[in-house]
Amino acid sequence: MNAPAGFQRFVEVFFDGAIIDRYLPDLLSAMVTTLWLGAIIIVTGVAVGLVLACLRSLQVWWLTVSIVMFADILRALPPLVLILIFYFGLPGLGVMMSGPLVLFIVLAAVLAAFCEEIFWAGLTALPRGQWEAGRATGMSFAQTLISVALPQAVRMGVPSLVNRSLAITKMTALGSVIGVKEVLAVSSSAQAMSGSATPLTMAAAAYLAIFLPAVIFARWLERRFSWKV
Amino acid sequence: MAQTPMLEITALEKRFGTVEVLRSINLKVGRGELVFVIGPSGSGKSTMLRCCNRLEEPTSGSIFIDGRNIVNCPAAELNRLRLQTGMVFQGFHLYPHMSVVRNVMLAQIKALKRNKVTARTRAMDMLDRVGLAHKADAMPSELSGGQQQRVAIARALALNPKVMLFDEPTSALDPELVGSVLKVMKDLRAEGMTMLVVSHEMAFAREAADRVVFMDGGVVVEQGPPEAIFGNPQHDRTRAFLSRVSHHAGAE
Repeated sequence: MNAPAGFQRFVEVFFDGAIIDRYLPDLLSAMVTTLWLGAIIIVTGVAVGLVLACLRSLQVWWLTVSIVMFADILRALPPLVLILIFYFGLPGLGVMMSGPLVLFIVLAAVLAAFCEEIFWAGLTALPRGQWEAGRATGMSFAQTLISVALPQAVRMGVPSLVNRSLAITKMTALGSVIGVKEVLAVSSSAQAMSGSATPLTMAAAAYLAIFLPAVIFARWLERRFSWKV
Repeated sequence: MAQTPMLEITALEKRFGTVEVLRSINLKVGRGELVFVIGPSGSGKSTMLRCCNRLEEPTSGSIFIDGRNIVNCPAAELNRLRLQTGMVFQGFHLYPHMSVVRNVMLAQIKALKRNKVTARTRAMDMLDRVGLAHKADAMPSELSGGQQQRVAIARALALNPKVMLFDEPTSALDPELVGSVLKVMKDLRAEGMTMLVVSHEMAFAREAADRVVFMDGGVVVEQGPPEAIFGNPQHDRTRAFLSRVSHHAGAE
């Protein structure tokens, strides 16, 4: 096999123009699905994680125990297991949820578990004097938490938060096993139908189109929020 | 004294578990008085100071600020009572994520419910008073230790406290920066602020204090005007401490 023929073969397998034309509309709508799923998972997961870390800072024993159990269990389990249990197990109890809803609940909960730990680590790393300065100037616990402690805890956590959010958002690909029409599901069914690997290349390109800008944005965010103490 | 003292500590006890840190402390600070507390480390002087705004919970006893007992007051009221005492820490504890002026504004807005314009005006006045109005927009990390401590003093003053509590305010500073902080404290005294100061600055105590209190082992051993405590201490423990401190100072 000479070089030009080999190259042509490579292009046919991975970059077949006709296949691209046929499946591009499907893939674009799948990208939209992946994007909005990722967006609401990040917003919900980070927000819930923040609220859980705040509740944990109240140091009420039963709240702390529940939050730690939630965080540890969700961080220990592979998300795919939870997705399968929710999608195929819960209907046995009469709880029916659509694929996107299951994907959203499971991934947002997993992200919340990680975010809670990240925010909590930031809160505990804060010098006690910061709390004392707030309380000594007559601010309440909640005011000190919100104005003094959390902004610093969030900044400390930004690199981990960004990494974890990206990792969780990529897991929307797990939706392909429960029929969510996101990028991987659409492209692998196109691959099965057409017998061509080109839809998978398109999937890779789609993920790059989504996540490369996200990674670059993340870098900017990390620089923006790092500051000298 | 005809008037009630601004700060009055009676029969104050503090235990951490079984360790007695403070035993039957009685201390009065009159209006406009500058009272200095000296003593070896571990004598309980910082703990006593921190009881005065309940950063430490007293085990028993009473602490009156302007005639009002702050021990056993409910938590909701505690936040309001703490506004009456301005606390200055050894480690400054400025908020690193806020500019200098916002450090001084924060509690005014949150605890005193002042609006932003009023709070900013007051903050600028206080920064001017400690000589740092030109640093209003700097971040705390851009300031020297002495400047940070003066901002911390401005932050406390902005809330119109009745008493200022200083917990070793110059101990974390390089020697050449101590003077600027002490000058601010001297100005405050001239303006009639009531102050309770825990510090090792003996020369400053001699010069500026109305009264010096010597603590050791969780009790007040003796107190009196600075010339009496430094010139003619009545107790062996006071004499031993003062000679240790002066030897130490002489060696530097």
